[in-house]
Amino acid sequence: MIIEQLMPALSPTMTEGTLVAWRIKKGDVIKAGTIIAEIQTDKAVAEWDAADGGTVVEILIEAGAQAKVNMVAAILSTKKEDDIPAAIAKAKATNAKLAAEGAAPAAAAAAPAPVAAPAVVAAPIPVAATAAPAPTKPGKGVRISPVAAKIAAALAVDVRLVKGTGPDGRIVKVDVEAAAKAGSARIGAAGAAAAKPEKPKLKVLRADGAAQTAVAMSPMRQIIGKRLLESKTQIPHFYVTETIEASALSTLREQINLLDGLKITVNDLITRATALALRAHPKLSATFHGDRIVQHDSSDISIAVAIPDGLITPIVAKAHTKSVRQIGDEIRSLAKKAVEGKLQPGEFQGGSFTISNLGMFGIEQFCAIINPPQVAILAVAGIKDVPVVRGGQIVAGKTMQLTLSADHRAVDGADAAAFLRTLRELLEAPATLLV
Amino acid sequence: MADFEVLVIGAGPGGYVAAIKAAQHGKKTAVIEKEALGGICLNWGCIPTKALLKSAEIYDSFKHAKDFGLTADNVGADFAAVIKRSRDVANGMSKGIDFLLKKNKVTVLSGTAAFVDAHTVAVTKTDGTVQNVTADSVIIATGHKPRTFPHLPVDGKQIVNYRHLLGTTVQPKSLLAIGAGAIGMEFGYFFSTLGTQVTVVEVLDQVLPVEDAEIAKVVEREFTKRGVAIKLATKVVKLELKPNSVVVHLDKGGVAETVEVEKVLVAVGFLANTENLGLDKAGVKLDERGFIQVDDNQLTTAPGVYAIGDVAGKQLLAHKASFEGEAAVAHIAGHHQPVDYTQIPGCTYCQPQVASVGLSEKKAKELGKAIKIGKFQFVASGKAKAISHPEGMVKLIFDAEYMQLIGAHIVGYDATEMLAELSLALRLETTAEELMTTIHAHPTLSEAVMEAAADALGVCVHQ
Repeated sequence: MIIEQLMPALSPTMTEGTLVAWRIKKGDVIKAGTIIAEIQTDKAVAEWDAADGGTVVEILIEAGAQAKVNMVAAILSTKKEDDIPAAIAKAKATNAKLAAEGAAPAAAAAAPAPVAAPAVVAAPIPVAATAAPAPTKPGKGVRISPVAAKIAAALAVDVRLVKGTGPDGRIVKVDVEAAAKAGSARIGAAGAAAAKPEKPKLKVLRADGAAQTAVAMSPMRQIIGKRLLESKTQIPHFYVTETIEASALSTLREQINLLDGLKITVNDLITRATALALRAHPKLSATFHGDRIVQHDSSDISIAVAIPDGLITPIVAKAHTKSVRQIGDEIRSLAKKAVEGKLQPGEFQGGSFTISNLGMFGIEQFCAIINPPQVAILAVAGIKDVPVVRGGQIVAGKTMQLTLSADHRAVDGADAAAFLRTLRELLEAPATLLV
Repeated sequence: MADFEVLVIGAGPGGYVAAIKAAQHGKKTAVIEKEALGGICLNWGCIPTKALLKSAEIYDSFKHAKDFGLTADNVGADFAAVIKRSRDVANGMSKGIDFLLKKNKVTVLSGTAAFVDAHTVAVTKTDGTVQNVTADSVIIATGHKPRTFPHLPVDGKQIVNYRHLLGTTVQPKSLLAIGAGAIGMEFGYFFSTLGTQVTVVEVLDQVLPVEDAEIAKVVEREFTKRGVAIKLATKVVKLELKPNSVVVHLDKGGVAETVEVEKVLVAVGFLANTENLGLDKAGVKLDERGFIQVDDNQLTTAPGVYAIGDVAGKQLLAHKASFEGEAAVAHIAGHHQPVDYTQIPGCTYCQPQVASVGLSEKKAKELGKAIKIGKFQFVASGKAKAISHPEGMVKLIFDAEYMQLIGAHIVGYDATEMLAELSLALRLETTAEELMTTIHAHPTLSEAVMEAAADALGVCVHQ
């Protein structure tokens, strides 16, 4: 079978992109899911993973070249009998046609559906929200059942490429499910982030004209809801707040960032300080398991990262053994992966303590909900310019509030207070964090 | 060459539809029938009972004339005339089938059929002559008959089945129905409305056991209000015959009770009509329950021999038989068109009516589905109030993931006529959103469907 690898639309607004680099060459035998190229979209460089496996028999778009969405970038073959010259000729014709059409939006370019394998997803084409020409939405000429259309939207299945088995070729649920299954293994990288289900939104006008919108809970929101409800209702939370004099901390950060190419954040410094403080207060570096409490020598710190429609807590493992710079690099790498949906389970499961930082919003103070089975979470607020008393004088200073939420089954008030005092001492004398 | 390309045994709603479909496919077709064309459905089931129920409903309306500002004095029922009307309706319909078969050039053979071999059927006519007919394909559509039980000795007089009741000309003063399925409940409604003291006994713990429990509860409540005694989770131990009555011995969880009635209706248990058909000669095997084994093309264990409808088991419903007939003919014509048994609607025509298609709430949960339920009570429907039938509700069951409709249940005045929209919705894989956004005319009972879908989505307007 001949399989055309079509230039994917990796963002809802993408109509063309630069094929930055190929990771495959003619003659390679690739499996579905292999990263075959890097593509510069209108927003970022993304990896393109193959939707199908086969032998690479032709590459039609050179590295560095611009290509319109849906152009044939490469051709795979799965059988000896495949007529490769004919396939190449057909692909060249397709590309020439698309090139001639000028800007080719994803949906408009689709009419010929130039794909040899009709029942599979040709490429991880993202489901666009309302803003984009979504190939998954049935357009003119696509006959599809309502639930099949919804599943296609949720699973990023291009319905133009699905063969219908319903009455007169109507696409029904099983067709989309089969296409998604055949393609599921291949949706990764850019595909995964893009494939997040578009949550059905229902806007209803009340009698008085006011609108209310019902948004179905995504699986992630449902899990967040369930876990946090369990935590807040089952764990006896208590809260201890401490104000840190943050002038030295701010100054240190500014000095470090004067170094060329180096950028650290207050959060990196706090993570380092927390890792050290946890070593001194092992009761806080613990997990609760009903009949026993496990103390963890290693400060594996979960960092709450906001992602679209939710949050996730990737882990800086063994943070106490890492420098501020290493911690910072790691957090930024993990956060990027989190937003892109690329985190591996090992990168967000586990952890002995969590930090949630809303400082970037200038928050005065807040309390966080414990991330079970951990026994404590630190809520970091913003640094404020405030008058402080130093040597009997009121002077301009900076403060920051830290609030620890702790599980009273595992931690007592005195433990929490002692931990916060250590943390304050480290943060108010931040040079300690650099050794 | 065989006499016919397709030979159908039995001209009920499965057989006559199969015969006409086969003829429309250009097949030389014959159908064998030993009684009246149309089978039980048309002659002794669906159609005549609907005629009776309409009489009962009109009578009921007269009785409530005052509620509508009308006077109707000396309202009475001429029971024999009511029965006669029902017979006339059935006979008229049977003539219609004769016309349709002729129009489609289907040969009708009157007589009793028995296989000689898989492709030869002996037809014994009423005058005793036997004619052997050969066919390339044979479709068995012989239906069912009521099953008899040793402790429920049907005599056709005091202890009867539905068929006896449809021919009776004297209204019993009291009647006890054994079985709260469609037959027990429809006759229960009919007789109680005309003034018979009715008791319905059911061994399971709900009336209409195949329906959603919440829906069945509404019917039970309405029947109780009308003065029908409903006895659930109750077994009939024995029937004691007296000269002018039957003493029914009941057992509810070890507590004994007796009810004395004029007539007992046995409305439980059915047997496939397979005896004396010579199935062994054709090589057609039965399943462990005595129904003919078939595959999804309705093909039996004998090549070229098909079975459809009640004789092939599953639900005993006329429309199921017709669609199986179409599936069998499609296969004969070289196609594969199996019946989707998850999409067979079921209707009960007592008041309030019950209509459903797809999964009940309990069944959906048993299948491990995450579901969302939407309901709308007719008491909040303007139309239902205007016609003085505020009883009942629409209950829709959706698969929570994509809100696909997987079950629809209606109990209420015109429930059976409202169901078609939902059967179509189920067939088209519709989700709650389309049901909710389909503009339903106001005021109609059907608006309740739209409202129930909205309820499932948490945005119901009128309740």
